[in-house]
Amino acid sequence: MQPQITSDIFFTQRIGEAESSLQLLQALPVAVYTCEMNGYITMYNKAAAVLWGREPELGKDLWCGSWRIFRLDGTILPLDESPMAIVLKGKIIPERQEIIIQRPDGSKRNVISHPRPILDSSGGITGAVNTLMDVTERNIAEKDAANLVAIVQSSEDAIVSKTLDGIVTSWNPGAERLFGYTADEMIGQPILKILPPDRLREEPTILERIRKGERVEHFYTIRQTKQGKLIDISLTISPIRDSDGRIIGASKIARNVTDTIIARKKLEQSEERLQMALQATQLGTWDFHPLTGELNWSEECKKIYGLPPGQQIDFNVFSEHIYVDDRQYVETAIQKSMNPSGTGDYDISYRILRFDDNAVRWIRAQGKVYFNPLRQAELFTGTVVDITEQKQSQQALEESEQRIRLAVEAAKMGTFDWDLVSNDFKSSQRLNDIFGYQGQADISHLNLIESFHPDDKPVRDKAVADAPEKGSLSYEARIYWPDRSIRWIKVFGKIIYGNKGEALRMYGTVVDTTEEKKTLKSLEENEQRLNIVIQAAELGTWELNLLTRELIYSERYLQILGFASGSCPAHEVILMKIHPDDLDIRNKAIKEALIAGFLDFEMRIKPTPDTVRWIRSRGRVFFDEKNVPWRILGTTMDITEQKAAFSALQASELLFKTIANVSPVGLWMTDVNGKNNFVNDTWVDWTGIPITSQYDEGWIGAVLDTDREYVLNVCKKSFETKENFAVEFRIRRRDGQVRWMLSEGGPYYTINKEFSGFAGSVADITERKQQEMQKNDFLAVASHELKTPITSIKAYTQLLAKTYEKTDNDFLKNALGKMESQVNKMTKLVSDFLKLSKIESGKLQLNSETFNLNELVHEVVDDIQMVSGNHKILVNEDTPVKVLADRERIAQVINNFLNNAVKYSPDNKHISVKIEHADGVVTVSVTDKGIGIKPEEHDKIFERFYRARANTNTSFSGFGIGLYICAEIIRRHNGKIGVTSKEGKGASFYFALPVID
Amino acid sequence: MSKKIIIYDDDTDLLEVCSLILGAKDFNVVTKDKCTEILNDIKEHSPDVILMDNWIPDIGGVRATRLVKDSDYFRHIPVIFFSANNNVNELAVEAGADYFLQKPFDISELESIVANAANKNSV
Repeated sequence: MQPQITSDIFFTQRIGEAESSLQLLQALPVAVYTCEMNGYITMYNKAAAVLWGREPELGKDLWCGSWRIFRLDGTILPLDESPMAIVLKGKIIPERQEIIIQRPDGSKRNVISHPRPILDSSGGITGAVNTLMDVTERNIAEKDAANLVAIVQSSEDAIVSKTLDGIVTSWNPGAERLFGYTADEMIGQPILKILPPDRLREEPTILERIRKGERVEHFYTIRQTKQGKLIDISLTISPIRDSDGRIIGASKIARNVTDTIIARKKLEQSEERLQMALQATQLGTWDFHPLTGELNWSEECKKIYGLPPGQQIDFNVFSEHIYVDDRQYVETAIQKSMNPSGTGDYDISYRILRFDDNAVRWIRAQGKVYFNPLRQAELFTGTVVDITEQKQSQQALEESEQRIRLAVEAAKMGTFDWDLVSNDFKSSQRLNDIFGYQGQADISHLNLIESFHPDDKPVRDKAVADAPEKGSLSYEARIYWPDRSIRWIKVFGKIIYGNKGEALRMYGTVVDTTEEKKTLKSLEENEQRLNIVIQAAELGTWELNLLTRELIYSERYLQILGFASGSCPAHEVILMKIHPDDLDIRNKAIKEALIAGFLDFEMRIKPTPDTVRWIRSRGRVFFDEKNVPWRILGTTMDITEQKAAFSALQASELLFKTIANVSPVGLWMTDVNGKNNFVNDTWVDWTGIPITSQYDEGWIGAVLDTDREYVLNVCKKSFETKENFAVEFRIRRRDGQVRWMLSEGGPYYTINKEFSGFAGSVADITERKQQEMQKNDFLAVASHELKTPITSIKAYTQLLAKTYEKTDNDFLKNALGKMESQVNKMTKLVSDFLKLSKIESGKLQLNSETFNLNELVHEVVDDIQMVSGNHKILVNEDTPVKVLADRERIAQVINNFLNNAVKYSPDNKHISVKIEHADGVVTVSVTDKGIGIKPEEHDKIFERFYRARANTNTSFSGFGIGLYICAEIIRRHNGKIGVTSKEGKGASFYFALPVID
Repeated sequence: MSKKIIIYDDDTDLLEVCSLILGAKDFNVVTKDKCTEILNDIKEHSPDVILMDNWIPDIGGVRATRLVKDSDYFRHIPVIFFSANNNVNELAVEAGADYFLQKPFDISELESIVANAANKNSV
């Protein structure tokens, strides 16, 4: 129980005390204010008014003097839910809470609020006192440091620093992954540990260059991992300088390029093989690259076209030398082959005008189009051969066939006259002769009809029956002569009609076509033979008699099969040259040919016991009049080289596919509309979604429902701006597990700089995420364990201080005061430590919005002006401009420039800020009259780990990351950043961004 | 009559210093380094207020507080939840505690919150 206070003297004393503490409060640099139990503000100090940017009305304003307050996530915090209001209203005292205060001028400050209730003697709340700590600057500094830590830690590249003696001083997780050594194993050890013995001499050279202040960029070399494996890496090494600009070490970024180099070597090899194979064939070869328009011809090909060796060729020249009548035909054929929905096959004969003698030549071109994953024709390659002679002989044959037919018809035509009403049939002697009744005049119609071959009688009957309606008669049929020999006849007739349209008569002619049939048959055979002769240089030819099994063959055929020329092996001996595994192929092909009428197959042979070659045999089956196959005429070609060439091409294609599909990360591509058109097997494996269901937006099905909209938005946004993006999301894997993914992508362009879509990768980052979480758990536990003893220490210290409150021992008082302030410092360190750990990713994620840049500049200037009252900051501007950018990040850049200006101009207090707008670009510059920067340092100050010469003590920005992060931010905005300065004459830092109209 | 408080914490140094602080404020202080027998403890001592740590053997402060708050006989006893965990306020809500206190604390905070809690109970 408290004693009742009644004395007047006591009251006077209390008022006096209160007045002096009020004066103290007013002078405090920390914002303090009080409210009575209903929340009306009863008192506030100067610092509070500055922080709020206004002076609230005592007894009228409620809860908080701020114009407006926000939670840290940016949402508005109603004043009656402010920490102060909760203390006055609620039972539970809120944790020290960080809020954002907005001033009437729009500027914002981060503030930690510590409201405490004022209790009366019975413990009831009569009011509350609140102190507000401005932590805006601290937050910014924390962010800078965290960004760097996160950048280094999360980098896939190995980032290592070392002293000038080559001793490792830092080693990030990327380095652990790449080289297999942990940080513990490497820090303090010589970097030589990872150099293969034959590369030890590289290190002094590198260090020599570093000492001179040079950067080593993209240096390809080999390093050795802990497991002894040699890896190809690309190194970028930059010097680290201390505050005086002296080089004290080097930072090194290493990237594993082993896979890239292996892939490139393999590609080079396969291309070489292809070239060799094509040169070995005797055909002309060509390749055309539709995307670039590049056309290449082999020397053989140029010979066919009558071009001198070494002559350059392009598509137009090629096109102009197609015989004019065939141009359209060739173009259509090319278009058809390049159609992605077709087979890509190309096989066409056409005429050309030869370059040297303008002769018209027939050529045959065969080829194939290869499509890229975008279904664009990428490579069109094939062969060409001159077939003029073959064509000419074919034409000659066709002409002679015509002539023969005319002659035969003119010479041996029988005629008939058939009265359809009386059925009276009169035939000429010639006709009777044709039917085998030489010299006999009275042959009845019935006799003639009975002469027809039973198989062909229906043909004749139907033709006769249809004739009255058709008006004419035309058929070809076999007849039996009285001696039972078979002849072919051809019959033509014409119907004569009466007045009423009734058929009255039929006149007709009959020719014996037996000879013609025979001739035609032999002509066909001749044609085949001719072809064979023409191609004899290339093709082996043969004729297989199916009845006698006798095989007749050409010299070339023997050669192909590996027999000595002039030798005469039997059919059985020849069959033994066939690769035993392919005998079935050959037998099956012949069997099928006997039904289809033509033969075409490929198989392996063994010309000598040690060699294997590929041949292609084509042939035509000849049938006798009973439709029984009796022989095959054929050709055989050695296609080993073509096979090799083709499989080399397939190998190239296969290599790309294999690289894509064995990749440990998912790979994807989109078309120009952002629709997915390629994913590799890895992604298909992970998601279990069949490839055909992945296209377009099908892949999103793998993403967790909750993450879908976010992912699609990120993709859509970056697609619109054609900028690179990185997005983290979760998928449900085929086995049901939820996994974290990181997808990074960017636009890609054809060689002609045309936008072709986006391409990118998806990596499984679940382990990294888990480690991050483990790390955070660990830090939380560690900080808890640190705080526990601090709690006891603090309580004891305060208890001691209270106990000795009235002591005369100054030393004891002083010591206890110091102890308490050190304990408080420790408490703060521990909680700051935890805050750093909470920042999970240092990747700069831009949240772009359109805003007034001038307003932002003023906000930042006002903030800086407030804390650096000694410096005079002037803003020079014309009409306000808007930019599309991340407002907070740009504020960070301006803030950094201004802080640097203040820091590095201790003697001259004038700082000027200029906002200039020209040609769609706005430039913001901050100029001081301070110590300035040497010209050779102008570029370096934007690098990581660099620090300009300075005498001031180090702070967070002293790590040299502030300007690096500024540069990074401006780069991400596609802007420009730079500095102009002379040593001793001050510096002008600027950045430039595109303006939004 | 002086008020009675039971303090639960596994750190005996902290138990001792809290006893000193609150004893000086005329509290009758009982300390426990385990919360296993919490309901028996309450029956035995009939406290006006309970100060409960989070990480304490063997069932932990959250479950121990729940036991009190689930009991028809004892739920009126105010429980102050105190912990070095950064999310002590969330833990307090989860446990159903009436107050929370973040470790490390100023002894004035401890004094006022305990006084306030003990006072509320008597009303």
